[in-house]
Amino acid sequence: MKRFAPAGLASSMPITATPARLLRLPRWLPDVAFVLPALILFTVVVIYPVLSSFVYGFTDWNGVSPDVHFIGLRNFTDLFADRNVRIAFVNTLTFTIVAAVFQNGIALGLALALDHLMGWLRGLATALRILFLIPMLLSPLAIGYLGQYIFSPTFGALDTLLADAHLESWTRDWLGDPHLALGSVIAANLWQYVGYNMIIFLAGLQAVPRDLYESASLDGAGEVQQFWHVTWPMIAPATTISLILTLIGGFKVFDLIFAMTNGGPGYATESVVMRVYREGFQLNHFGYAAAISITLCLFIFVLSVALLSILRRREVVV
Amino acid sequence: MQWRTTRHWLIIPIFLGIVSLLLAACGTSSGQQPVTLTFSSWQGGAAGDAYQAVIKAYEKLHPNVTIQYEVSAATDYTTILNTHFSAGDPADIVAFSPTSYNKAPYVQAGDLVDLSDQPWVAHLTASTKITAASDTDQAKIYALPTVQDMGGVIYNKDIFSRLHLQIPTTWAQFIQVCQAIKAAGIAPLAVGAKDGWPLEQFLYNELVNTVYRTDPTFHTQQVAGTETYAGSAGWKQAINDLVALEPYFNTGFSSTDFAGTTDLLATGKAAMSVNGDFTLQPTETNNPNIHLGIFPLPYVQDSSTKPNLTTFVDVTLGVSAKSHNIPAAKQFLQYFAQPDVMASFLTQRGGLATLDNVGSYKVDPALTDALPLLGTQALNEAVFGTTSNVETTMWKDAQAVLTGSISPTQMLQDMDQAFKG
Repeated sequence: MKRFAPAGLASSMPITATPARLLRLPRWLPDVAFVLPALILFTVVVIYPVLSSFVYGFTDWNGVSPDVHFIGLRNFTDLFADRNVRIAFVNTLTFTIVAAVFQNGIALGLALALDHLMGWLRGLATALRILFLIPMLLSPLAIGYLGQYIFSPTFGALDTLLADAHLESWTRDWLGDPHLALGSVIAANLWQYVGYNMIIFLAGLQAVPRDLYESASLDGAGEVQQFWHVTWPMIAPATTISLILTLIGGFKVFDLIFAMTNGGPGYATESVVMRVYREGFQLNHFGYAAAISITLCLFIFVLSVALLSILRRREVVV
Repeated sequence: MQWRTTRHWLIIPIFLGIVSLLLAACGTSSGQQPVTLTFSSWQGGAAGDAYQAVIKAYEKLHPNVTIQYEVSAATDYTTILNTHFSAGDPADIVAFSPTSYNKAPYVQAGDLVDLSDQPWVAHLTASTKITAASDTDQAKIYALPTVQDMGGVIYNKDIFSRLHLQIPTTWAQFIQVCQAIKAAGIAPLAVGAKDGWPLEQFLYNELVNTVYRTDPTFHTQQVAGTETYAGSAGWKQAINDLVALEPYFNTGFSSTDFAGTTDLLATGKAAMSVNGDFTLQPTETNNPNIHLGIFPLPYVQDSSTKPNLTTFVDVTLGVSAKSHNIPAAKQFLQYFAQPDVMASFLTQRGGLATLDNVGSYKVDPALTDALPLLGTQALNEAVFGTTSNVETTMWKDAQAVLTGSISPTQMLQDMDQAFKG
């Protein structure tokens, strides 16, 4: 086996060179032996529960009783008529789309600025890169509680600042007003993750060959033209990754909302995953919760595939 | 062979050693057999400390007994109870709550031990017996209620005195009091709507003066399918009147939690809060100089009708029928129910006694004025018969109604749906 002895050596010592040959084990066995424990663990902890939830989605299981009945598609027909599920999907879509646009837009702007700064103030650029990444290192729960403090109308930093700046009329119950609560949560999310997206864009920008800019410049292209005709196509793979990650993160948002608003006021900020949690763990409708999860999973899958196929078309291979 | 002989000689002392160990073990089992009891609850923090103190005192008296107090998050407690009971390994002593974590399904399933023969049963008061007994048979007792609380309007006596306000006895007077407090630049009512459950407390304090005062069988009729929340004019009116009070709530009530309301009361930024007496302790801790009191929410039209306070048993303790230590668990409950033990527990925990023979214990001075009302002007929240599903739905929907997202009718329909399970 190549892994244990070089080919030449193996030919000079055909039988005694490797323990595997001694035991006449098939070539694939060591690979499988190394992978198998992790695979078993992954199957038990992830694959089996995921597949089980696909089965439970078609039952009326309450999560604890051994009494389980198959009820066909009833959970799925019910969820399409469920006002709270509809609100949760609308909230999640709004959260995801707004986060995707603003988070990536701001991240791209920051990445471009840092990329330029790298040329002449490398130390400052590195410091800023770390600074922008710090919020991402914090737990979303910590960000959520911090956000709760900032947006509180009673003792909150934001309203206090506005009042101090003689802008009392701008003060709001940011998390208690159903029209503002989701926006406030999105703002906190944006603050946390914009640095992460910025790093992805920055990596893409730094991989763009500099001679392309020189050629474009020789051809008379200005800064804007260089961005649209060189940078933008060249960072297409980074854009794809950044957008897909933002979308997936947006669709499964839970902890930040849980800490900031607990889905409230009422259902104004409740996400789909939070609805799944309530149905499953608070109302004991596990079958129904599984059905919502399956629907969300299919939704993310279809959207991700569609988006990937669109974004991949504009990617350039250098 | 020599080595074999040596080994044979060794067998004798080993055998003797094992026999003596077995005899020693038998001797222990006949006298002080070590017992480990598990005690499942959602009560942590200061309340949990009061239970731990009882446990420690019991363990000191019974050195062979160890009690493991296992605290779970309140939001997950129903799930944990269901999981443990369905798996057949519940704790030996299980804490229930008459509303949020009702023992009824476990009584029906035969999962709890009948405690009717216990000596403390004779000392249950009329208002606490309802929470200790089976829903279907009041003669059968399945749990020891440990503490009783009262609910009403917690108010700042200093603000009332400064503004020359009297305790209102009708709804119209209550609105006038709210207007006067608001005119003085103080939030009349501190409401922690973010947590949801304080809104439920508000509704309950209204409804003990209407629906459940005039018809204590409302819940029984619901179970029979002849009455619904959505079909109740009293429930709808209570929600509408809650919404009508919104101008008197603190700024940002939707994003204020329970702790926020105690801060507002303690700092004098709010004058009243409709809630349970458990509001007193954190408020007084924040401001030891504050003078608080409690009066019944006057949700009545004329002063000849005396408004009700709410009372509610916070925790009841049952014994699992699957326990391997039923006698030991019963013995612990019997110890807990002793007058001096209960008095010591209530002094640490706060709240009111559930048994009529409890010795003297420290009662928050804020409750002094309201204590005489307990016999005549109080209704136990057990009459609501709400389930955990109904409560969860009520909390979220009440928030949504207050922010104008759904109508009171929609809220009541949702609660009916949750009531069905």
